[in-house]
Amino acid sequence: MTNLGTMDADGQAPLIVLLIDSDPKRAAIVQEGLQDRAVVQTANSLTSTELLFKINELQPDVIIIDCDSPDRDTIENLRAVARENPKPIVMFVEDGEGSLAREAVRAGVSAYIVDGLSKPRVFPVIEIAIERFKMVDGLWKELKKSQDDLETRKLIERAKGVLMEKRGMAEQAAYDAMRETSMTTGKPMKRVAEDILSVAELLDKV
Amino acid sequence: MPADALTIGFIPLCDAAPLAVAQEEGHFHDLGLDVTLKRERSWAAIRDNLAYGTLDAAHLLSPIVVASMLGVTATKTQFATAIGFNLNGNAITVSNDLYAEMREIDPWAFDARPVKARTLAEVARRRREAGSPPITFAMVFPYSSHNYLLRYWLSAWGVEPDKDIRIIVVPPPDMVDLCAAGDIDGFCVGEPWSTLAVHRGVGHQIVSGAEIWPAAPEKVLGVRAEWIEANNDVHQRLIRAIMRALNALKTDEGKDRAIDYLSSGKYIGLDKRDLSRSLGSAAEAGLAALFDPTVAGFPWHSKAGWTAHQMQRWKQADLAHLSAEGLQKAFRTDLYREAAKREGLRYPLVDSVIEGANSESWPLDNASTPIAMPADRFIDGRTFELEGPVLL
Repeated sequence: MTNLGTMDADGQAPLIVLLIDSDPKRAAIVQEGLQDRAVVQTANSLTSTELLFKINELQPDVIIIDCDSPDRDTIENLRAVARENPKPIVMFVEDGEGSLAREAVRAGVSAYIVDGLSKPRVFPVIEIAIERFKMVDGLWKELKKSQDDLETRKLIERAKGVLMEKRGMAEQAAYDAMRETSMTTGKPMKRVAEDILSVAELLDKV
Repeated sequence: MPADALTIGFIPLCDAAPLAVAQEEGHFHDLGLDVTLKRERSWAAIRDNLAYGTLDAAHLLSPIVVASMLGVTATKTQFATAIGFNLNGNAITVSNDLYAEMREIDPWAFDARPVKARTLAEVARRRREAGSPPITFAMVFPYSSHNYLLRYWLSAWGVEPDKDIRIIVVPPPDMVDLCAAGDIDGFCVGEPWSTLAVHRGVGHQIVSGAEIWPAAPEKVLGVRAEWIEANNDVHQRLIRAIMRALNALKTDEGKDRAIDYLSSGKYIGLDKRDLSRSLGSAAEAGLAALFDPTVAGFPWHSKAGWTAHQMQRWKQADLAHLSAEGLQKAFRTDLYREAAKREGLRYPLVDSVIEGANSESWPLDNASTPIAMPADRFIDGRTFELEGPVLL
């Protein structure tokens, strides 16, 4: 939790942002990005009723929540429970900024803001959240890609070993043969390696 | 010719069955559609992803289409539908504790069907006097038949939903856990989640949605209104694939196969036993959703109009925005009929009927071939008629 206790340039109290994200790593990254802009509180693994209590207690100006969170439906109902929580909360995408809203949804961010907050105050916070979500998404993709690359390299090494052992081929020749198969059949190297390994396994059995 | 690729979103519920059947039994494929089904966690996510084009179509709450027509959804996107999935399939379940409280007040409260909400008013009064928290019921989305049916049932016995009861929103798969934890006293949800509560001993299912209104519109195939303009041919094939799936779901064998598909982790991921109480050859009548391409499939204007009236009743929307033109743009009976003709299915010639006028099955003669309509009597015996000429 970060509390800067500072005022905005225009002398207003800082925005209070409630951040709800089931992925704690992403929550931390988003929180870090927002801390110069707002007082950020996080809420994870709360039941629907606990979440309503928390919102009531914090009275946040903005709620930032990952698009896939089931808690979104709970927040959608805030207007319906206005008796208990007199702050009107509207969905960010409601105010006609179509492209920003679309970008937010595509990045996996949804935001709910209290009706009447000025755009210049709220938009930077939303923009940072979008950037951070994209960044985390990018990190995941990179990680996934490097894992895939590593796996492919391992498979190719093993397939090469099979060709060298069973066929007496030199290392470069084995690699070139696989490369050529890949190009003539249009199969990726990973598939070629897998095919060699599965055939070798089959032949070992018979 | 390469197949047209589409992404369709769904929520893990029994009434996602038409999508599962169309996918698993090749109806999409047969009509040249390469469909990816994407499971979503919340109705808000379905709505936003559909609005912003991440999804081409979706398993959608019929009232979300009505809400967009009346201009009250958060995104200003206009949704539309040309085919429904089902009527009914919901139930109201109360926790063991609330069940006991109701029984203490009226030992015969659960002996006669339908169970009356009257006892709840007394529970609410006692809790107020004791300074205890109010009775908390959960439903699945502010714009949902679950919300309106729950409120209709409560109001039919003078219980005031916004005064005597607290109604909150909880996603379907979370209902059972919250009820077990004592956070909510009851809920109105689509299957299989009521059955799961019963099977786990968490609560008692006391009313089925069909007992409140046996012809309540439920899920539809939702799309963006502007998407239809640019994709009319793909949309027609999509409607026809759903019609074929709904035809398969009319038979016991088809429903039993749907249980097999839905129980897998791809769709709902629950034991077949939890699905078979409301779906398949052994389903209980009141709890089972009605799947069929004609009565459940047709995008009735009278049902959408009833929903719009409920939205006004509970101060969600203003009926001033309800118009015949709006209904025709959102509930595409014209596109339905076009697809039904190609599939050789019978179809209604009217867009609306008087809702709630029949306590028995009845014939709709104003159709390409007469259609057997189910009983549709409301629990309070009222009828609903859209303004304007209604032909029967």
